[in-house]
Amino acid sequence: MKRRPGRAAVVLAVVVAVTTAVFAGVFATRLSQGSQLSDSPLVGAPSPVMTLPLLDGSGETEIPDPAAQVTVINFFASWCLECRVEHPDLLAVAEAFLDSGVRLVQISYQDRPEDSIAFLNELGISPLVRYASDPDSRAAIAFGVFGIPETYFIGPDGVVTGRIIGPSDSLSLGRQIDLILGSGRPE
Amino acid sequence: MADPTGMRLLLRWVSPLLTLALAAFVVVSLTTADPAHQDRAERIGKQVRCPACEGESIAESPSSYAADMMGYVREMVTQGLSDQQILDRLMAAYPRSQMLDPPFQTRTALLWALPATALVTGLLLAFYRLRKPVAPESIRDST
Amino acid sequence: MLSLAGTLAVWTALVASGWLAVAGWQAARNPFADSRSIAALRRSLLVMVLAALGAMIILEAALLANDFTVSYVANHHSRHTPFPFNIATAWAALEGSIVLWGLVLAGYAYAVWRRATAGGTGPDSLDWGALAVIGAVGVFFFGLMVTVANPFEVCTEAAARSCTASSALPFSRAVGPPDGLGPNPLLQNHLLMAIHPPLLYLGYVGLTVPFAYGLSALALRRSGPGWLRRSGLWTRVAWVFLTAGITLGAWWAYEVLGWGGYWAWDPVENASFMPWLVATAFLHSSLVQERRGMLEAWNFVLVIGAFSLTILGTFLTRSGVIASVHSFTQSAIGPALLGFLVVVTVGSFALFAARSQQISSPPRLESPSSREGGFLLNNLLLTVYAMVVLTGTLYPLALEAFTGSEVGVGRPFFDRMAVPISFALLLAMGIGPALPWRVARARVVWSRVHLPLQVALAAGVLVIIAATRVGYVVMAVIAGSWVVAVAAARLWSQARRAARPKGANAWSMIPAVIRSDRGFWGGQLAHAGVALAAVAIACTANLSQTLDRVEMAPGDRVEFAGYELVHTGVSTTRTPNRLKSSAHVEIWKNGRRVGLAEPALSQFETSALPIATPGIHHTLTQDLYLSLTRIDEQAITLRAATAPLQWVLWLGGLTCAAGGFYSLVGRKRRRSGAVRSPEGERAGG
Repeated sequence: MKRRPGRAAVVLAVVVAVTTAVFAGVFATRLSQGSQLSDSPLVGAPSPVMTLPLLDGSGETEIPDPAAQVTVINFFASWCLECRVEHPDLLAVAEAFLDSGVRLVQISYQDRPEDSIAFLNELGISPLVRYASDPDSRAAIAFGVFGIPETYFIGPDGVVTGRIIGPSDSLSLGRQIDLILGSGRPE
Repeated sequence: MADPTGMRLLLRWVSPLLTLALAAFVVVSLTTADPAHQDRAERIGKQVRCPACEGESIAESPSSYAADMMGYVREMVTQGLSDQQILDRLMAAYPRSQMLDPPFQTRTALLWALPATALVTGLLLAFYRLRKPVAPESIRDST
Repeated sequence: MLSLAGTLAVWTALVASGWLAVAGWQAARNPFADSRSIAALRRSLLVMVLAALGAMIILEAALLANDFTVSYVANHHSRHTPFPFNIATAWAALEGSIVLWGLVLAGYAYAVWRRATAGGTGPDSLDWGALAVIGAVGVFFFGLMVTVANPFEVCTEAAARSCTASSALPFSRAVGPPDGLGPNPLLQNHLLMAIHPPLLYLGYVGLTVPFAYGLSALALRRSGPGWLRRSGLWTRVAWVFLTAGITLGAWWAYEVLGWGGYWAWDPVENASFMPWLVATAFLHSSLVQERRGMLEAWNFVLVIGAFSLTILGTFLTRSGVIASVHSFTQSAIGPALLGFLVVVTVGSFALFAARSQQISSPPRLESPSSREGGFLLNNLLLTVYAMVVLTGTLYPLALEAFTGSEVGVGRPFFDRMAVPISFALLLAMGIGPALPWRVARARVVWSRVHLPLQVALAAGVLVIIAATRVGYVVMAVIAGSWVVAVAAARLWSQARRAARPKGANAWSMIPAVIRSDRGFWGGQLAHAGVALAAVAIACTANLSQTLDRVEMAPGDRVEFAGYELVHTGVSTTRTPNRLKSSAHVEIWKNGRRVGLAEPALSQFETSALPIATPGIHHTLTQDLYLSLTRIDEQAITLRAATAPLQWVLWLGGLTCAAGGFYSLVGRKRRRSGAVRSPEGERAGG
């Protein structure tokens, strides 16, 4: 009556067990040193080129700014809490790096112009910064925005050199700008 | 129904013919039906994961960012671009993981092969291992 | 205070489950287990249950008392979270959900004990071994609670609305924030969210029990009908909860998430669906073993596989690995669950391989066209189905881990693979119950199925003439009616056969026929539920109409799908933690106002993007599903869709669960003729 259930079941068991173990092993070792920021295909590629209307309707701005050494693109909205956090640092960096030819362009994302303007009036406006609106989200699509705030850095050769997802601060902004101004390209 | 010859006649002739007739009607109606009309933009949109939401495609998502992406797709459709051109432009700055429909490539070969292997292995096992003659036992009729 | 009590409860449960594992194993290894070791087992079990219950009660008490010195409360609760969501917050986030897991596991351990000791023949070593395995699993989960997922840490540093540092030492100086951020807004939107996770957990955790019996049988070299009958019973229990939980989860997604769908093939859903598929396969293949002694090895594989998949699912959904493959190492729970998965899978399959000599698999299949052959086909299809879902879910992760390359796998892939498998399953579901055991002669089969086949085809013809020629819908109707018609024909012919000797009316015999084999007829009811769900899925996927976003000022009207929608105004309600703006949309049909829908957008103070709540107008033939993308005093942006026969899907899912439940309450007791005690019944059901 007792008969071997056949090697098939045992082979199956071994295959499943080994697969699980290998999968888990690779998983645990490979991913522990992963970084979170660089997986945009845009980084290292030429920046999208476009013209956007200014938020107050007074004119247009070009992206990337042809007159600037470094164009910093920041997507924000009045409903975004973390944008409030990073706003003072963005302003400070825009002013600090003015002489190095850095131009900050802030693009309103999924927001009504009047709300964005109210947000800026509350938190601070600088004449050094361009404030653009983004009709039909074409700029956000072109830059591959997931969720704001997001910040992109474009070098003098028009190549996107870096991206910050989530709130930026003076330190991270300054480091990216220094990398472009210093060596032309980070790493 | 109670008459055995009538029953046999029914089973042998009327029933198969009726079945065939019904099946033929279904097959003919379905094959001659107008192909389901599907919006091209909708079809493309279903292949793109909405970046601002969780899980849904941009064609399904109610978020306004997905709506803007769909608007872009529709615009390119009216410009007469091919599906691939539209996807390339729309997704130029997004990682490939945002696409919902995996392409046939060498790096996705296992994705398609594994379920197929499971099916074939299962069939082979069932066929060769389980179908061996056995000594007749007392047959318990059971329904 | 509550931190201390909670920590004590969790530690007690941890020690007790370790004790249960040891005592259970000792009792199992000794064939003449004396009353002392049984008493130890019983004591450890009771302590484990009480401590797990205590931990849950303390967590709830901390939530209800707004005790923000408890880290879980500070991070996931707010003073303004309304009832019943303040209760449900206890399982809305990671640490609390593990507490619920532990409680459910302890509950199952207790039920297993009651069931084992209530019967007439008395419990035996299989039961003790299973309790030992449950205890070992408990050690892992209570271990999580005292280490990487500790909800009872003391908040030692507080920001305005959260806890920035916490300590596991219960005597640390407690500094709680004055208020917290509250649970994820999506989870505060609908009552179903409070019900669906516990149900799903009852299903998920329940699969531990058949696994425990399987391991117990392997370890004790006790293959045969003993473990199978017990595993089959407890799989049914878990399966009923799992089916209901998945259905309610889909229902919740439909009512709350606002995109009009109910199933997105996302990893969280797949995580619950894979164990369901494997458990379903086991329910069927266990019948083959019970009846014919075949497939025992395969049955071991299935119970181990189902449990491993629940752990894998927990890993996928709780480790953050889905949000980003890189984020999973940020929390220690990911590696812990991964390690446990490896231990469980490798350990149990190694034990299985080592014991394979003892597993009997006598009679071979006589003919593929037989009831056994039908079950084999069913198992093949369900296993391949699970394999598809598993591969599709893990492939992006595996590819990135192994090669760094990225790929997305979503609905188009799953639909393409799942639709043909599902149709094949429906057809098998129809033919299977019509096949006799051992060998099916073509004439017998034909006499049983020809009428149902004609009924099914006639239903298809009716749909073509009266409603639609969309292929998937017609085929789903044919396949679904085929399943139901075959079952109905079997019922009728058995009723007639039962009625003939008594000269009674066949109709009057139907209840007696059903009662005589509740397992079979419960299964048929479950099949009918699946058939209903299949028809509903085909209809919603293929016959839905959509109205892409229209801007409407107050007073505007728009025509859609035979309705006229009128935007009459906007109202806002403010509760402490959210601002809800609702649009009032009147629904007119043929000049009559038939309903009012209030789709809304809620702005939670803690969340950036507004949360959409759809307004749904339910009718018998279809739902009218309205959702907003923008709202203000001047205009709304409205999206509308129809969902034909949507309610039939919920009906189908719940019918399926009900079928499982019916087969459970009516299962025959052990042969010994034990008198059923009410407690035993409750524990079984």
